[in-house]
Order: sequence, then C-alpha cells, then structure tokens
Amino acid sequence: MNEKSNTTGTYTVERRLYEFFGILFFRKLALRLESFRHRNDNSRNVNYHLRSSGISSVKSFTGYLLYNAVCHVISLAFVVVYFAITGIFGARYIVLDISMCVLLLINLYCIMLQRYTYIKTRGFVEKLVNTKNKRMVGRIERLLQKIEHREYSELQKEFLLIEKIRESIHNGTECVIKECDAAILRDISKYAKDIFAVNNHKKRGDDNEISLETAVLSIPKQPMVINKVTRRAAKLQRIFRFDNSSNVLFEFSIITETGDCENAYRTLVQDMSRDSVEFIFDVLFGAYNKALLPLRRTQI
Amino acid sequence: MSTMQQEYKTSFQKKAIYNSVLSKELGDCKHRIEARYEWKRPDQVFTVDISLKDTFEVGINLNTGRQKYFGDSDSASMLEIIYRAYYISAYIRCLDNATTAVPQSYFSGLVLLCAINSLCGGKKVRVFSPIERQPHNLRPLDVHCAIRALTRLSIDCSERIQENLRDDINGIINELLTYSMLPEISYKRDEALFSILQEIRNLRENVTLHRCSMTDYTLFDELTTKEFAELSLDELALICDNSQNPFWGNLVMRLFAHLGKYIGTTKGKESFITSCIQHFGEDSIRYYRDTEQTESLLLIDNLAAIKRLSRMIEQESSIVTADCGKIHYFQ
Repeated sequence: MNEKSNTTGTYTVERRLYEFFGILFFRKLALRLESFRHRNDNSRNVNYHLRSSGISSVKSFTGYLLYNAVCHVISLAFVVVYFAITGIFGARYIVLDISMCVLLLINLYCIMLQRYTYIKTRGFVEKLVNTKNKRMVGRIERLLQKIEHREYSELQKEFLLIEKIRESIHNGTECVIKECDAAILRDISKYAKDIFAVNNHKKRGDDNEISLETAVLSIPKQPMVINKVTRRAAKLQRIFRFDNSSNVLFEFSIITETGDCENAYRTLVQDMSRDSVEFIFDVLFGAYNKALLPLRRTQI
Repeated sequence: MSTMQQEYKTSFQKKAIYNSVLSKELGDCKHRIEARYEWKRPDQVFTVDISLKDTFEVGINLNTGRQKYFGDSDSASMLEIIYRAYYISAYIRCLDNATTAVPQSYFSGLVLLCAINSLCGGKKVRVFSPIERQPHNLRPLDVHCAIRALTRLSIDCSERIQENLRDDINGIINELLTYSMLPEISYKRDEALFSILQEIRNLRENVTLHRCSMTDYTLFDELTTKEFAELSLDELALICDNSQNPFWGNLVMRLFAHLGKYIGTTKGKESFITSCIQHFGEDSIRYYRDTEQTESLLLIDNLAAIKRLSRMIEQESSIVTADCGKIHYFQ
C-alpha cells in the first residue's frame, strides 16, 4: 500500500513537471498539426487516439505510445550523431545546426508527451480495473444466489462450456459454439441474462448526409487489413514483453455455428464490446466456480 | 530429359502456343490487340497497356522460370504456357466486356469494377497469377481469370493431365472459388488491402482526376442520375436498395461498415441491405468451415478481413440476423 502510494506520488510529481514544461500546449499543437494534415481526408492517426474508453482499448493504447516513443528516440539518436560528428570535426553549419536544435527539442517534447500520456493512461486503467472488480464481486454474488441450489451435473456441464469460452477469450483464440452447446448456453442465459442486461442504443444515421466524395476521401490510400503502424506497435510490444492481452493485435472470436447457437449467445451477450464479453465470462466463471466448490468436495 | 520437355522450353515453341491459343480465343475481340513478347520476373504473366484508346498493348512474359504448379511431368511446361494463355485471354475478355457487362453477384461486380478501373486508369498494368504461394499483387479480377483459365485447362487438356495433378488443379480451383464467395482482400506489393475500398478509391481517382465517364459503363446505370461528387451516402443507399442488385447492396453494406456509418434504410427489416447482411453472415460461417484446415495464405488473410468486416457490420447496424450463425470478432 505504502509502495503504491509512493509510486503514485512520484508519477504525480513527474506529471506536474511535464505540465510545467508546457506539455499540454505541445499536445494541443500536435493535435492541430494532425487535423491540418488530414484536412482533406477526414481521417485520424491511429496511434494518436484511443479507440474507446474501455479497459482493453486503453491498455492496448500503451503499445502505440511505445511505438511513438521509439520513433522519436530513433530520430533523437540521429540528431545526437549529427552533433557528435560535427563536434569531432569542428564543422559548423548555422542553418543545419539550428534545424537540428529544433528537431532535438521537438523529439524531446514528443518523448515527454508519450511518457505523460502513459502516466495518465496508467491511472485511468487502475480506476477502470477497480470499478470492474467491484462490479464483478456484486454480479458474482447475485448470480451465485440464483444457481447455488442447482444440481452438480448441470452446473459442471455449463461450467465446462464457460471455461472453454473464457479460455479462448484470455488466450486470444477462436471458440466455436456448436449445435450441441446451444442448449447449455440457453440454460446459462436463463439464470444470467437479467444480470447482464443492457440498454442497447444503436446510433442513428444522422451523418449519412455527407457526400460519397468526402466519404471516399477518408479511405486511406492503402486500405490495409492491418496497418503498418499497428503491426510495428505489436512487434515492439512483443519485444518489450508486454502482457499478451494488451497487445494492439490481440484478438479473439466467438463463432456461433447455427442460428440456434446465435440466439442463445445473443440472449446472454447483449453488449458486443470486448470488455463486456470478457466481463460476462469472468463473472460466469467466478460464480460457477464458487457454486461448484462445495459440491466438488461432497463429490470427492 | 525427354523431347516433349525440351520442346516447350524454347521461346519459339512458347510463342507458337501463345499465338495459336490467343488468336483463337481473342479473334472476336472488340478492341484492337497488339501483342509482343518480353522477359520479366517469372511470376508476372503479362502486362497490359491501355493508354491508347481502343487498343490493348499486351506484353506476354516468356519467362516461366521453374514454376512447379503443374508438376514435374513431361507436359508440365506446356500446361503452364496453355494456362497462362487462357489466363491472358480471360483477362482481356473482361476488359473487353467491361462497358456492357451487368454483374449477377458481388464477386462478379467487383471483378467488373476492377476491369473498369484498369480501363479508366490508362496505365500499364502488371498482371500476376494468383496461384502462387504468396501473391505479390492480386485483385479479384486476377482470381476470376485464374478460375476460368484452370477450368478451361482441366477440360481441354484432360488427356495430358495425370490423376494427382487433376486433384491439385481441382484443389486450387476450390480454394479460389472459396475466396470468390467473400472476396474481401486484394494484395498490393505483398500487403493485404480491403479490395472494395481499394477499388472505390481507384474509381474516384479515375472519375475525378482522369475524367473517366461513368455513363460509358452499364454497371453505373443505376447511379448516373447524379455525378459521383454530388451523390450523398443516403442517396447511394436508397438507390442500391431499390436496384435489388446484389453487387450494389453488398457494396453499400461494406462501404458503410468501413466508414463507420449507420447501415440501414427507411424500409427497415424488409430492406435489401438487410438481406445482404443476412447472406454475409451465412457466407462467413460457410467460409470459416471451408477454411478451417487451409494453409493457403490468401484464404487465411481473407478470413482475417472477413472477421474484421463482420465486427464493423455488427457495430454499424441494428439488424439482428438470428437465422444463421455468426462470427463475433473482438480486438
């Protein structure tokens, strides 16, 4: 606890220091420059913005911060090499020297900005994780009350399916819900659907009045399936041994084989965001595990 | 080395085969064709220059390298050249018919759009065959031509094709047909791109920069009430919904999903786009089942694109398709 507050204190001082050096003004400037760069194509830099405010999105954003920082460190290294060479040979080119100084300053500020954003992101993730954990405890208790009276064999069957799906979610693999799983999933949702019910407000098509020309201009020149920045950020995250689930290319899929499976899945999972799916199966796993624990002892 | 194998390794013999096949296949072409032979990297089949009006300048690559698509048998090199000749003829046919063709499916529409973009672009196009292990450059048009060429080859040269080679050829045709079910990617300099976005962007460039007239092509008959620049996304959706053409319906569905725009029209559940979403769901599950064991890079990359598109469609539409399974993709 003490250690944690110490770290938080250090981070706060570091943040304040960056703010003192005008990092907020620099950030504004960088974003202005970005919007100017994309004035014709209506798009954004993928490595500058969060995809959403969910835990997974914020966590994976650190990959882009790392990528940005590495790019600026490389650029900074070139400037240092330039000054080293000109220093050794005693050569002075006023225009080039000034440009290099400006480049040095820009790179330093960019690296500071990545660090500043990282500290803010870290605090935000901590808050989100705490909220998630609190919500999870409450939901597990509610679900436990509903399922604890049920038979061991029923619970065990459902638990195995939950475990299978949860594993593929955490390992980033594909999970196929087969025809034979549909009935089990329906049984699970019978008890759990109220606990995970959400109000789904789909956005309306108010912005579809824009011209086709403008819309097409927002398509990147090379509309890659996985863009280069993302691929490089993922590679850096692997090199720096980041947690696999926070990798920018971390993915998993749940495949329902038939309409029956899809219906059962939809009843249980109404919000289709990654965080929501992770949350649902974590709660289910926790509740079923707790419910099965005393039953397993009696079975033995 | 047998005489047969030697026979088709000389440039003279290769030219003789190309001449005999292409003159027969492309005799009734509407455009004037000027063919010449050149020596390029082995995976390139030919180049086509469309800068001159009404003329296709075709540069046929004589370098077939040590390609082993058709085995090591005596007739392998001959089969390779006949396949390439059929491939070239299928490609030229597509370009030749681009002005009048009407698509019956999303894939045929995309093939047609590729052909129109090649015609309008007025540039020299380098064409590679999609049956390589890792395609360098590939568009749906190339896949369409490869399917046609391989099918013709397996019918016309059936007596020269051994049993195991026939199975291999059928395997490649099946792979390409699986891709054609949901043709989401194309390759440009080894990078997998979303094919529809690439072609729409090319079309916009051709219309606005190269002054290509959309009225020249039957494909755009539905849209030509307005200029490309004047059309809004809502109007496009309405036109496509009314046309009931699978190509336009699927194009709108994909374009809206990629752009992050709400997919849906005033007709709600009865709209044509709704049925396109339903079909996409069914096809994506079928595609997933067909490619579970595949080692083909094209099919694997295409599945990744299908998953991403599936996610985008799910996010941008309120339409719930519960009659079939679905791929729920999370990143």
